[in-house]
Amino acid sequence: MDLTDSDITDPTDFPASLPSLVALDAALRCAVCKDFFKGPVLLTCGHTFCSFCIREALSEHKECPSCRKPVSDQSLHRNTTLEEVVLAFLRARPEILTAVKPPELKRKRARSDSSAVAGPSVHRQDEDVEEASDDEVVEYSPSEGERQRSISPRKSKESTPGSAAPTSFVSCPICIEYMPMIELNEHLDRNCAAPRKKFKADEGKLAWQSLLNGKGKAKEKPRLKNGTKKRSPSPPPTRMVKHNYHIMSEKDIRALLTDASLSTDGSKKAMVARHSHFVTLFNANLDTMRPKSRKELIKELEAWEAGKEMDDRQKKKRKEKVEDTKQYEAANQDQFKSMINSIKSRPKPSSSALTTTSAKFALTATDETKGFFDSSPAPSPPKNLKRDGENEVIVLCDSSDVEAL
Amino acid sequence: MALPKETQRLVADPAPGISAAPHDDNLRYFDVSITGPDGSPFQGGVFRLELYLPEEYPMSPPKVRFLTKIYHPNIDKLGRICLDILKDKWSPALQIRTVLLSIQALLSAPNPDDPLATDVAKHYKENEAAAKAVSREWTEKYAQ
Repeated sequence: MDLTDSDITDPTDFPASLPSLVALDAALRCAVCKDFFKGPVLLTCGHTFCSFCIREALSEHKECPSCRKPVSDQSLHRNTTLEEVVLAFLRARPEILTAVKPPELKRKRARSDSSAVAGPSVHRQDEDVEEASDDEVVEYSPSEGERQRSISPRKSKESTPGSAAPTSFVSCPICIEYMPMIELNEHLDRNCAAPRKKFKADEGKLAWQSLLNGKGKAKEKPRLKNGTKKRSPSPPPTRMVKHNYHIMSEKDIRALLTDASLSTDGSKKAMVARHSHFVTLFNANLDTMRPKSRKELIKELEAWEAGKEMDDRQKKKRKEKVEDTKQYEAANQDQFKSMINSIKSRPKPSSSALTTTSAKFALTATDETKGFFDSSPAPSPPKNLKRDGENEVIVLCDSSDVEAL
Repeated sequence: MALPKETQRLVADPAPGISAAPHDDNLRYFDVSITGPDGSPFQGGVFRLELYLPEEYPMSPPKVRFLTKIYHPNIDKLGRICLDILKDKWSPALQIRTVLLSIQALLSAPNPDDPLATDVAKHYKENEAAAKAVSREWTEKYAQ
């Protein structure tokens, strides 16, 4: 994963020189997922979170994540106004970012603009940019400006209409992606081609359609019909109920899943996890202005489960390493021996060398070494700790095992 | 997932006295160093920690452990930390940065009444000045 991936938005996308915009961006985000509010719900304490985030958090602790005041699932209220604010801000965000983009990006734009000053009409946005980065423009040599001029959109229109336009590439002020100039506006409207699915206008429409014409969707699996039939009589679907899975038999849970037209594969634990996650997804979905179709929710559920399975597999792999100590010991005998030998053959450390080795001594005990570790002298009482480090043991181990703690 | 961005911000804009960098092969695993707060016996020390984000994060707390030896009533010899927000007082609204700041604050304000390293806590309660001297000594010895 590339950490510089810019398809994830963040308040720091705004320049630090404009703290008010950074604060505005941050204020419209959920404290749990750090993303813009999706289906925000208001708690009795006044705090707001994404419906999904707070529902998931409440399944662990019945308190507000921000102020710890007690909250219950039933007391959540949709915050429609805030959702509208977020949607409006998301539409405005690319425009604001364009207007305030950081200097190095401004420069690029300014260079092309500087050549166009003579033109009859100056675009509003360009004007702002120009004023803001006047002094930066001066830095550039005329030859560079010339080069830029050739790809300036207005110029190309004037001199060779049509022919040059598709080939004039610009870099997006937000994501720095290169694209034909004519596509830039659309790209910006789409929030840099990586919009949050939910906020895509046409997808929302589709979701509505599929929700309203639920019955008409003959393509869906026959099992799904039960679910859609249940919801179709009344336009606003009712919330799903959380069950006390502990007192339910495997058969009951399987019936629950069949009712919700979900898969009944896997162990009881997996089925419970699947159902409870789907209930959270489903109920959170009802708190959004553009609810997703059931099909989309099921897809999300499947993606979540696939991710979880992968994590579980990785966990198992890591665990095996620790469980099978004998084999591990045998397989790594050479390494252990060489480590023991290297310590045995080490000259007694002088007090200065000790400082560094002890710092590295760094309690990195794995399960295998832990027992050994515990038997080593307890943190020395004050008088003993006077730099008699010879008794110190140096435990080296693979950092990937450390997590076993 | 907010994780990559949180990581990026953490690396790009660390809190004073705190640095955290993810491992290349495991982005959930962080190498952390915290400088000892001024005015505490840990002043001048640089303490290494490891931080692991479980898959349930942020619904469950990160796992944090001192790698550098430290003489502190709430940190045991294996580096485990006794801090409420890392246990039952975790909230999903907390994040890596706030956790590390809390740990830094714990260095400034040891709490021997809720000990993890009982012998250290006892020492702190019976003779705070002497205990602090030991903390200082350990800081000089191990946390440089």
